[in-house]
Amino acid sequence: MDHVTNQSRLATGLIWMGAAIMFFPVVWMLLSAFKSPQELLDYPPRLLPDRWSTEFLVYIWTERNFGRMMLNSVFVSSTVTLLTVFSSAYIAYVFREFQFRFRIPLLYLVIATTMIPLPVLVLPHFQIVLWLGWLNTYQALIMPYALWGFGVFLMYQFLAGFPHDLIEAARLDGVSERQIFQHIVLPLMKSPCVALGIITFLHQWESLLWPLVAANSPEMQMLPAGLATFSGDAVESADLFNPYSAALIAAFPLLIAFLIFQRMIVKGIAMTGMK
Amino acid sequence: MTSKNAFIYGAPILAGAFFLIWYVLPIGWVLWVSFWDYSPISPNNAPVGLENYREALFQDHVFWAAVKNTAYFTFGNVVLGTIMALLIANGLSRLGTLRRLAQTAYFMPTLFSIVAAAVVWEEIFQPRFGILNNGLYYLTDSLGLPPFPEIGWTTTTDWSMPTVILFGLWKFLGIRIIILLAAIEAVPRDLYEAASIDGVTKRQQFFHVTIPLIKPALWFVVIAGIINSFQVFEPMYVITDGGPLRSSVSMVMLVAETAFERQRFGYSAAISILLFGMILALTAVLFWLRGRSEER
Amino acid sequence: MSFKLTRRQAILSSAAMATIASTPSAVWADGHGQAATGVPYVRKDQINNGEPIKLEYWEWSGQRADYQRQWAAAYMEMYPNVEIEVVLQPWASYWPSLITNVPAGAGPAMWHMHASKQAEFCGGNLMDPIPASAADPAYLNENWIGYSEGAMQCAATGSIHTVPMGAMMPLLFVNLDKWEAAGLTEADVPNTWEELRAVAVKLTERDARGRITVAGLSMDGQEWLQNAVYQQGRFLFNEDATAVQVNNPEYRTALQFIADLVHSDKALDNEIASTRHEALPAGQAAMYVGFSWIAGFMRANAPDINWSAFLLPTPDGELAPAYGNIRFAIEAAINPFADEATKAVAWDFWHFNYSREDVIVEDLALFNGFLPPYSKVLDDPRVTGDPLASTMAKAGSLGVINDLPNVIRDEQLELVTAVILGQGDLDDLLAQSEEAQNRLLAERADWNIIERNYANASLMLAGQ
Repeated sequence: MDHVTNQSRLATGLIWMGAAIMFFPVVWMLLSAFKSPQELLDYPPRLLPDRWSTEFLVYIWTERNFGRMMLNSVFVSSTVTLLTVFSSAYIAYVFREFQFRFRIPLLYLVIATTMIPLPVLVLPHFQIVLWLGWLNTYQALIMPYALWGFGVFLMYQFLAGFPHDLIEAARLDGVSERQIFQHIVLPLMKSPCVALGIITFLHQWESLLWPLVAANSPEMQMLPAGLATFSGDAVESADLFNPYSAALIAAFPLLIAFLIFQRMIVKGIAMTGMK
Repeated sequence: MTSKNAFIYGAPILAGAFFLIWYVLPIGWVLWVSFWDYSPISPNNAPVGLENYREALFQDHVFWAAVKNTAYFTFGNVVLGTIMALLIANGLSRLGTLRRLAQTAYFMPTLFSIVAAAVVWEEIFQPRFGILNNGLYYLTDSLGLPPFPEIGWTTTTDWSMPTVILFGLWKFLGIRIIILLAAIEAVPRDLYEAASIDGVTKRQQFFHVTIPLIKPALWFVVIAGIINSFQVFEPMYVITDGGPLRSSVSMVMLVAETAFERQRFGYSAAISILLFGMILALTAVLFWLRGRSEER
Repeated sequence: MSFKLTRRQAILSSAAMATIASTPSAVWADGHGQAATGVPYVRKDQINNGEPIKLEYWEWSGQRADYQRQWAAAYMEMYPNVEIEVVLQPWASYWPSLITNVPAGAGPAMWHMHASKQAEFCGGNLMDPIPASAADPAYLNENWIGYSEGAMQCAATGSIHTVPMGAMMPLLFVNLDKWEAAGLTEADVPNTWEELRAVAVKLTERDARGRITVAGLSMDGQEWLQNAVYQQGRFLFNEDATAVQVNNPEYRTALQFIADLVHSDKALDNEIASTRHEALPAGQAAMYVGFSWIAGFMRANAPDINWSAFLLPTPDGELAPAYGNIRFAIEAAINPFADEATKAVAWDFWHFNYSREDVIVEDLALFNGFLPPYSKVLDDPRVTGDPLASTMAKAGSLGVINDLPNVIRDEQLELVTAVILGQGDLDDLLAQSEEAQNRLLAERADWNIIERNYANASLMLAGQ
């Protein structure tokens, strides 16, 4: 018995050690964001800033039009996320639940699209946006990503173990298919919806190339563009910057969102556990 | 009845139209362009037949380096990542107190935009002045162990890929844990209770109850992991820039670089098609394996 | 030849900048010092018939955007119906965005160009040619650097689209605090490569574990290589620029210098070398070989380091046959697919900016660490009094003007990295690199390689 307890103690210890390792870079970023660019170069590195400096954070926020960028990023990323999550759930459910012509080939096609590397799609996507007359619009940023093969795949996979008798029971009660999906299936899909939502939101949140190709006017700029102007890769540019401050500003809205999302994740998990 | 039909046929129509416009037509264009020497601003675009493919397969050693690195990353990220995520998810499911806190720590990296995260890790991995090597040296030194050597994480050809894989584990572990934890939680409690009454140990429970019951989730994590890892780009781009000496260049990185730095969209398209073919073949094999494992 | 560009001087020059910025536009509008393009800029009663019009002007450097916004403000004060917005866009997506948008009739009215992209933009006709109303080509040819050398024109058509920002030359940057701490004096400033190595050894610092914490000398390896090859009288390309010249004794000697510095002198190692230009402001390199834009980088990032810049040492201490490479950054280009009204205003704004000597001296050149591109301002007291510019002026006539294709630059850097990492035999590496560079060079036919136009080409090795 003692042996078992020791083993589980060791396991618990390892879990916490792993958690600490995972968390350390986050702490390191938070602390370093308040260091001056010069202090970052100090050797040996120190954990705490010498003097808590917010100059660079303030500079980024006030001088670089970050308010508007943040707004655009939040709007585009949220819209894409909502569209992706709901359309993926809907499509995956119908493909699981019903039989129709071309079901299997269509499904394989959707899954196969996830294997296409996105950078090559930039040029053809630009041509399509051009034909549609969508240059410099929100729909140019949103539409190509409104649905995602991976999302359909994720949902389809999740639905493999779905409690089918619930649906049958509702059908016998004469509930319409749309309502079954809306009121019975969708609530039970909360957990994969949240997971997909997080991945989708993140993908959009950090996307740099497409926004600048499809909508490059200052009114349409998004956060990654603002941050990337501080990139050390820029040729012959002497911009002063603290990469941690930039990283903190990029991560901040997500950290806030995380506090909201975490409840939903736990809830979603608990819900699937009930079946 | 019509509303039922509208609900059902809405889905394939929506999916068909969307993927036709944004994926099938574009990929058709990419395939077509892969037989051309093509740049959107060049006046001298010309068809070259299979030349781009010949160049990639038989002439360009960077292409093969990228194939090797991509496979290496995929292997490390999927094999290690899945095993670690499984063990951690299992551990988390048994954790009583402060479980939310541990969960938060594991999920946190998932929420970091990859560019921001890579910026932080780049500084941590810096071999001489970064916190990782110096911290480990300080630790081993003060414990009286043999001093930790200076590892050239990002600056040597031997370590650049392991470094990128380490970063990948940190960044992509959280989402796997989310998925596997959800699956583990969904295993009915009474199965474990029945097992422990029969005197089955925790370890045996894990292998004979948990794993068989979360198989669909595991397959998903593995298949999605392989598809995504084959398209790895940002970790290399930000941490090592594909170097040193191209030792950590990935296929998608090569695709982007060939198109936007060298203006060779045709060649870039050919590499994409080859990459697409590889992922497709690999996924087909995996689906087949999964099908077989489900039959049993 | 020694001088100090101390923190105080940097502050002084930024004070001068502030004066310029606050000078009211009336000073510029009277035509004084405002004919630098050969066509005097005359203030018009109105522009675009007084109709409101909006222009975007792209830039990737936040520091340059600051003075561009001042140009825009001065212009908008003259013509209140015009709105010019300077937009910062990240380098990483700047070019893909322009290359897709400009031919589609979208994109900004004007953007800051970069020499390494000139060939592509020429090939796609993505820059409007300079109109006669804004500049006189003959005047530019005679009084500006770059035109007579062929650096500013599109190779295929000979058309010109931009003005240069100035000449950017390689220099030896020195951390004077470390220099003094090592007991070195002005007499120790190296002139030859041997002296450079000796000083580098003295300046190297190590920690208790024997690891280098301050490299005696670091460099951007590609820049070192390119300059060192020119210094030995060797061109980088064959006469008709169809192939590179890599597998030769001069390339080998240039690389051997780095190999010796790293593997025998142990005054540099891979860890420091890989941080490139960040090593100097970080205090991790006591000396650094880099192009003069590093000066601006130091002013911004290392205000506490006492530093100076010297002419680059040469193999034997002589500046001939060549001092090294002169590169230039180039200024704004105008979108040829913009509508006529926008183009007219853009060119007028362009003309307003580059016709001003103050802008050329203060903003384009000295602020960025360049030698002014316009010969008539070379004896301006602000230029002669600028330590960096006056140092560069000494070697200016022995600089080989050329901007390398970016793909060649990347391959050169790979070569140096392989040498620093000690991977492979030097002769094998040279042979492999020559083959790789030639393959990349052949991918495009329109690179504007003009090194053979070097004014002192007769001093270079014969028969190459």
